[in-house]
Amino acid sequence: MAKKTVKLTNQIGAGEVDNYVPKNQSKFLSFLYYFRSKKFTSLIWSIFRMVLLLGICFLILYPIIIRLASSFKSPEDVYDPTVILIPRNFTFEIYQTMWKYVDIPKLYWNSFSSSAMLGVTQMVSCMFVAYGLARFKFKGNGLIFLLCIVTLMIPVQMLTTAMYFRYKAFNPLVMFSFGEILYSVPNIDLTKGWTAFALLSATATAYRNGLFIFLLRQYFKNQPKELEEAAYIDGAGPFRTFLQVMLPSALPLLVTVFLFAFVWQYNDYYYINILNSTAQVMATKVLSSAGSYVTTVLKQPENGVLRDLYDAALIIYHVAPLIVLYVICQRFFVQSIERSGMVG
Amino acid sequence: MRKPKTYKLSLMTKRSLWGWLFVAPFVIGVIFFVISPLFTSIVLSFNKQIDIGGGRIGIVGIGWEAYKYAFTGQAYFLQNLASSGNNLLIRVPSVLIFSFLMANILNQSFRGRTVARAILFMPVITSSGVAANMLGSWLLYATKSSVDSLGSQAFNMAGSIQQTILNMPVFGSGVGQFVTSAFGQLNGIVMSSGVPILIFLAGLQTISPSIFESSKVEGATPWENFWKITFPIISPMILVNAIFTMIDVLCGMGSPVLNFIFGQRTATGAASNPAYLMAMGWIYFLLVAIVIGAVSFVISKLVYYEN
Repeated sequence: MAKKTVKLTNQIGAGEVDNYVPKNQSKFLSFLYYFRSKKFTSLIWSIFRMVLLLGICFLILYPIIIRLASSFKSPEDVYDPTVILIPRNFTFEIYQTMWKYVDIPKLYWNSFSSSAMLGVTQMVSCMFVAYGLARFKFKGNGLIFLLCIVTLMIPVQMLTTAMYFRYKAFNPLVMFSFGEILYSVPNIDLTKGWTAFALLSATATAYRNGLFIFLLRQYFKNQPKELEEAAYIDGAGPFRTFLQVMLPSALPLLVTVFLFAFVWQYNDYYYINILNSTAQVMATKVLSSAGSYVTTVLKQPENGVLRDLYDAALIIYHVAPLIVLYVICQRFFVQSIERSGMVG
Repeated sequence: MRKPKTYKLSLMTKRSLWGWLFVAPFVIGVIFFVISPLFTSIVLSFNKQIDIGGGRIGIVGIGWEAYKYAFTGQAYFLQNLASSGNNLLIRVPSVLIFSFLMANILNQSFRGRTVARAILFMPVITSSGVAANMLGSWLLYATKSSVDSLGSQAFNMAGSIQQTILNMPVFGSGVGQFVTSAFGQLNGIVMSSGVPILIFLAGLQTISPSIFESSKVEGATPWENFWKITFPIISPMILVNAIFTMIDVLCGMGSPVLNFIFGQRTATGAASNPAYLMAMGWIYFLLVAIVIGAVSFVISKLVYYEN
């Protein structure tokens, strides 16, 4: 009997004071000590962790799964109470109809090209500003960094509503006049096309660019000083040092910033509604009632079922490229934040 | 011959000029696309717009009327302000706690960690703009959509669970309300903790394992380890995350006050005049700035910096 107890303690690990089994313990009671062993608690913990993670992953994925499932359903499946997730009559018809009647290729092209261009512009402008803030000492450095954070706090809605008045009749010379702020001065209309967006991106003041500047600044600040000094001694100017010495190592973070910028631009409907309301992009199309539009065009019954199926398919059309992009960039994304050395 | 001192000064000036050159785009941007619209909004908040015929719009000075209107003219502004404050009190602590817990879990090694990580960070992609609007509130979707039977079952279940918790005598009414509202907002909390988890995880990975080894030798329990090692090292990230979450909750697209104020932009009638919207917008912006400033001041006093 004593032999067995010794074996048990060996299994648990000699260092565990908690798991000390008294020598004159009966066999039955010594079994109970298993519940206090490290093995048991870690088993319980891993079960708890698995359940928690599964639940949360389900919560995150559920909205996508339900729409993915319903977009493959045919209308009969919706009425069939035995069908919950996996459709009985599997069909691509909903997707085909949307592709044809909502002109998905054109929307994709508009969305991708504009988001990619603006994303790259934001990335480039933010990286310059961040490098300037991180590596050069000058008066007002702190103030400009503070402004970066404050731009994040200004309600976007207030800014854009005011912008609308300015940009409808844009004239750099009367930007700060009291009176003639409205439509009376003959000026350029920035609210048509992508001009306003291009200007905002090029000057690092587009949606949440303060965050990008913050992240990149943090990264550049933590790079060793010697790298730069060596480059200066070799005769490179600040510009060349930045592009050839400092930038290459920041690639993962730059990819992350581009990913954020691309996604936020792709998903944006607020700025677009105000600054480029005629644009035909995915984001505004998803919000418009495209489903009921298609049912009207095809003269299908207006009972809501087909409309919901169409809308589900359109959302999948909208989200699918993002998920593909995310899966591709995911590794970069996690690494870069981990390496950026974020400190308060 | 040049004196070394002058040379040094000129280098400094050169460096600062280069610095200005690098930040020039942002400075121009801030002047034309941030300060100018802000200035415009101040002007608009003191002037009412009126149609002066011929498709032209003129403005008439109204003084502080629009600001008075925000507090006394209608009831919705204060009401929404209160619900935003309520949101802040529930959302920010729960996002911080949740994302810290998740970061700790993701920092352990277990099978399927990469997949779990990838899925948990996905809200960064799916919780902005249209995607958030469409995917975010699935409980809401479940109640109004004809295709989501599973969701509506879950919705009913969630409602009954919430009722059960509220009826439990164990919790005081305050705690019970906090717990139920936190669970009611679970979806929103999960959706807005993508970036916070990332930042916490980055912080956790900077702690070297040798610290824990030596503390184990000294006989520290995991509980002490957490409060004496992990928590102080992670505290700067708590500040960053608190600021980020507050901005997200208060100024994000889901903010009730902002949605109320600027939802009126498209409404008809006197209340949709930009003067009123801008005045309310400014009051809110100042309140937000004060709250965020105060909270970050308090937290920054408690933060532990290693060097």
